[in-house]
Amino acid sequence: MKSLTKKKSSKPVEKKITKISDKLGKGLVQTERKPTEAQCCAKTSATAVGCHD
Amino acid sequence: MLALSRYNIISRFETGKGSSYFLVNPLSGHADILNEEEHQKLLNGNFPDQQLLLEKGYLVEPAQEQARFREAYLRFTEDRDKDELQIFFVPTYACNFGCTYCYQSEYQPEPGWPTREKIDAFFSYLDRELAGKKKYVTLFGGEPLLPSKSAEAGVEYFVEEAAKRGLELAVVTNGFYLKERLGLLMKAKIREIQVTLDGPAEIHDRRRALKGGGPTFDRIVEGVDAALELGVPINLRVVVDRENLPHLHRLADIAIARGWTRSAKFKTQIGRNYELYTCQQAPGKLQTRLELYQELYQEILKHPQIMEFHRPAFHVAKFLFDHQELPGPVFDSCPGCKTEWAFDYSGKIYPCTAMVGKQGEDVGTYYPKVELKNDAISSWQDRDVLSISACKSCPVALICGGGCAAIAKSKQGTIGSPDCRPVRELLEIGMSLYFPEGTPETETEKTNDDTRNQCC
Repeated sequence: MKSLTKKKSSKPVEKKITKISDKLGKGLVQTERKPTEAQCCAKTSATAVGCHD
Repeated sequence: MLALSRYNIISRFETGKGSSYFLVNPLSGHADILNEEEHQKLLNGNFPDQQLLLEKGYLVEPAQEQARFREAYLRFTEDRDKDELQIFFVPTYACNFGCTYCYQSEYQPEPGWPTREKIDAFFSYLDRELAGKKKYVTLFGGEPLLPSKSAEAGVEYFVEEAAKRGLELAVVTNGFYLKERLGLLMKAKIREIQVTLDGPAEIHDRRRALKGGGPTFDRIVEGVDAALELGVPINLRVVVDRENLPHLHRLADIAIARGWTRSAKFKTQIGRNYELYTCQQAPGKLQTRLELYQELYQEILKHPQIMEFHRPAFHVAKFLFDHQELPGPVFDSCPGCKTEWAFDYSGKIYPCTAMVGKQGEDVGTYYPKVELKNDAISSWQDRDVLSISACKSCPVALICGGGCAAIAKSKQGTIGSPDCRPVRELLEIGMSLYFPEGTPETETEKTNDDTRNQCC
């Protein structure tokens, strides 16, 4: 098995997520945010119609 | 009880020495290449290093994975709330080009540019309704850089108003009048200018001629040269189908020869030609997304210089190669009414560029008065892989993100339906392109190879 991803960091908790989403059901008023891999923007760099082709 | 993650994407791909398997999990953020033995053991549940699978999130306790999913979703939505907004402004649907595939061809444009009063209303809306949000503005069309006096004055006023607010400016133009307008546009900070070339001159001019006929290639090339010389970023779009894809390498040759590809200010995008609202005259040249990228891959094998011109994403494959990590899970790939809004000269507001100007698709007005259709806006804002029922059980949903809402509505009548992307198939191609070495051989293969080597 050949890993294509860098080893993830396991730093302690840094931040809390404060958003509430009713799509996720109850009990999620605050979720501890684990520090993670960099959140990379998945958007294309297109100025225009990039998201739909 | 442990189980394989429902977000594992496993598939076989061709390598330089046969085939391997990729295992990608967009939720855990891990990706690996497996050989045949490892693949079989994974599927049979007798993978030797279960701990490794657990660490990488390929093997999970389902309740824990559900918690990880929720956390990632909250993070995604929270991050998106802070994202920069792209605000399009369409001053006209008029255009001097008669492109063979124009999706706005049936629009009935009004001549001239909008009045200063309307431009003021547009900027006032941004000042008031989107205060405090990071944003930039994009001139779109039709063609926003037409040569009339009213258009020139309109562009100048628009650019000044953007500059006054410190807003960066992007322009989507056919490029015919780009060279003449550069000085004027540069009064604001230009984020980028998007122009389109569909191939070398004879191919491009057949597809993107002036209305009434006439070539356009040479003038666009002059505009790109001039922009790059001035340090203005260019985003070159190529709209491809069966007709011009075999000539993409010749466009790459031109871009390389002119020094464009050596410029840090130059980037490219491939757009697929497809029918959005109107039927095209030659549907036989249209390709599915998968057909396009299968053919593009073959073209790259034949003409590797294409990669110097454009490196296709193949979903997460290029990102994985470039960064040795996966992008975050995509719970929604549609920016409409979230990070994208489109305003047109009529005073209407639309969710995105695919919808702008389409009758009945506006979500409000900014002129003569501000009125928002909050129910319509909410339905756009609620659309994601949790609200689209077909996405809920889809193993590739966190890479696909539910696709484009405008296409979904055009095909299926509602933005609440998915615009499915062939994620697994495109990953297979992308992994072959970016990871052609595959994985270390199996123990059996290794033994055979060793034996062979000893013989030789």
